[in-house]
Amino acid sequence: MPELTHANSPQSLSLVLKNDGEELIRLSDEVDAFAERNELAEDARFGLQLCLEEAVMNIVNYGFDDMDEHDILIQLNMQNDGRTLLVSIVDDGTELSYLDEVDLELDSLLEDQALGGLGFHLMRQYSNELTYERKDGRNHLLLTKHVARPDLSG
Amino acid sequence: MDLNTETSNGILVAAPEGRIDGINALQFQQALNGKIDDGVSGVVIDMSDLNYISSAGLRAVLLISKSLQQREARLVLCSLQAPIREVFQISGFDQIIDISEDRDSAIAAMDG
Repeated sequence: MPELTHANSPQSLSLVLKNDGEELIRLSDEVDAFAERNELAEDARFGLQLCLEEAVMNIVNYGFDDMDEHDILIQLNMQNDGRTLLVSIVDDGTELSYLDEVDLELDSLLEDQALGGLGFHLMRQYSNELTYERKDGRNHLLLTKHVARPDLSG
Repeated sequence: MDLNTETSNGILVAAPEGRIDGINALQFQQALNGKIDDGVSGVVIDMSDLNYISSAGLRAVLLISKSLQQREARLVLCSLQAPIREVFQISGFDQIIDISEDRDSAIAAMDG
């Protein structure tokens, strides 16, 4: 299994976000810069931004019962093949309970909880592998995404 | 996100620019709803300058659609960039919201 490394390099990105929706702006900017550094194709950039937003907004909106500040740890690592991207998202919020496929009925999507389900549905569709583990009181979401790079396609 | 709007013959055409995400989806929804008055019989959202939308944005579009249905007015989306079109397909929203190729065909679809 590919390893996540903690070293800072052009192929990696480590971020600590607060549980505040406004952090999405910083996340988006950092992910854009990462995508630029690694020459990701447009559809891969879109999918990466989408997966990260859905994961983080889910944690921000539903992860905490208190009003305290919490850290959300984000790590992106491009593997040496230049095509496999590992994304790790760790938080100390409540255990994720709706990773199962959701009912995408029109009316149910108008309810807040179902929106989280739609976010997970999109994450699954835009990633090649999505694993979740509850460990040491934290949620560990690991996402693998195969990305196309224009310079490797020909 | 900027939202440019114009109304002609009872059709409101709204063109959001940039992103509709978890931060501004509600703002987008409220800004658009604020432009819809009794004289509006249909709304076209021209997405040619929209390059990102997440589940929060999809939900906003759905809520606008529901709100228009209650007024017996229609919603048609048009000019979706490829990644935006894909997210509508993947979410199944393309089955419940009308999508046209371009602004002219969207406005024409209002009569159909």
